[in-house]
Amino acid sequence: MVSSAPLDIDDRFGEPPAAPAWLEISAPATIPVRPLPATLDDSGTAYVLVMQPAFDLVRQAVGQLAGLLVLAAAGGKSAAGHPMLAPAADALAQAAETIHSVRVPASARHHHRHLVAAERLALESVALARRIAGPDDTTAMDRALGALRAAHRHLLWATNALPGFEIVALGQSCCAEHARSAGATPT
Amino acid sequence: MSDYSIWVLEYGAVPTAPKGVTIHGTFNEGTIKLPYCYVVLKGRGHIAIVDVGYNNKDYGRVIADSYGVENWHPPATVLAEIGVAPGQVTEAFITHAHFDHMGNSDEFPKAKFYVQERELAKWMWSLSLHRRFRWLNSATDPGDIMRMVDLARQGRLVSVEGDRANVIPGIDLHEAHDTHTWGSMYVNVRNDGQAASADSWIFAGDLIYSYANLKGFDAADPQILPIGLATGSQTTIMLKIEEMIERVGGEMKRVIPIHDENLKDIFPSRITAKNLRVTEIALAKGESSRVR
Repeated sequence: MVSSAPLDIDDRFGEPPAAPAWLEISAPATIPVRPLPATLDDSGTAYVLVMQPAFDLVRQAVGQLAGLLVLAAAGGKSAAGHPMLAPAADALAQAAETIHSVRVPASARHHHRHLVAAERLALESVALARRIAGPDDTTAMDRALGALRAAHRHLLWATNALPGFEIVALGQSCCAEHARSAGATPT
Repeated sequence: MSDYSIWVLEYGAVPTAPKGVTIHGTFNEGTIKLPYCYVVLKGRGHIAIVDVGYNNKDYGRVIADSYGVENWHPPATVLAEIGVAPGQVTEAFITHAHFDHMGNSDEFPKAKFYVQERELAKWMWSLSLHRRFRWLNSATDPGDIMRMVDLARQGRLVSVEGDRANVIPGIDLHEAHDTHTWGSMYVNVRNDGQAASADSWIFAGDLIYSYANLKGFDAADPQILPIGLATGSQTTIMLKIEEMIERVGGEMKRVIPIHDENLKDIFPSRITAKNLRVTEIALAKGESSRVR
């Protein structure tokens, strides 16, 4: 289990930015598909292996935040007091330990840049979610959701920068097990 | 005469999907064509859709390249074959929250979306588990959940708890919890509007992939065969299959597996200029056929 030790995000960020427009600028809506490197050098491979759990923690936190924002938007439990906020913050703290301490080889710089941005924006979304007064607090909701969307876009970019990272397991979906059919005989 | 016109609309396909995905245990029995489809229900002042497909903007290229999905087309193109525009769709019944069933919600700007509350709640729960359990939540995209925030804020997200009768006239939602996913559901169209309907159709989401899930391969000795992928219990899937068969009075062709290419052998259909199949399940009064 991920522990739920509280992390005081507010102390780290102070007041939220007035507008998250810059976040959107750095996370374009369209994801350019570029070919992944055919091979990774040893340092690149080591980076992938170390960073996979950190990536999954950021994805996990983004998912938790998205879920609690749905509940808040639907008029249920308030986002500010939702018990999922603490585990999300804790997951991001755990991810940050790896993200900010790992040695980043040249082949992984692009990926790392997006993962750093995703982690930072998700943290910001946590802080902003704590300021949502209720379902009618549309300004605070917009800010929290804007930061979260930008974090998600950076995660998508990261999946496109190096192999070994998935924001959604396409191969696990009901209709997408096809790649595992190698060698099967058509009927 | 039917209350609703019903079409199964192909929007893409995998030509070589392993059979083992569709029927548990058939691991080395080759591949089949697996069409991707929506179901459109039109009548009584509503145009409803069962599932909305995946977000091709984010994942289309990856899915096409890595998993062999071919010939994907957007809802505007697909629905035009029956004279419907995505903006006319009034309800979307999401059978489960996998990315390939819920991801394309942006394409239906007027629709109210119905999802089982348990689907979201249990997904959130799974995110609090250790990463060793990540298989449990990795087929749902956090981005799709974010789109649900917008739907909720626009008053277009309906969180369903269990069964709901007459969600629109003559159409019922039935929970199938802890089956393919935690909060799956299936859709029952009572096309004569009667409570004890003699004209029921079931749209099963991914509780079944083919008619073989309903009756096996031996006509003389039928058996229920579960699908190849379940987050919940295969036993529960089998019991839900039995429940669906009972709701249509035992007439198995009325439990529609949208991924089954063999639908064309049972219902009238045609192939469009985009090489997509339109299958006509029922026609309401005053509606003209879209396949003849």
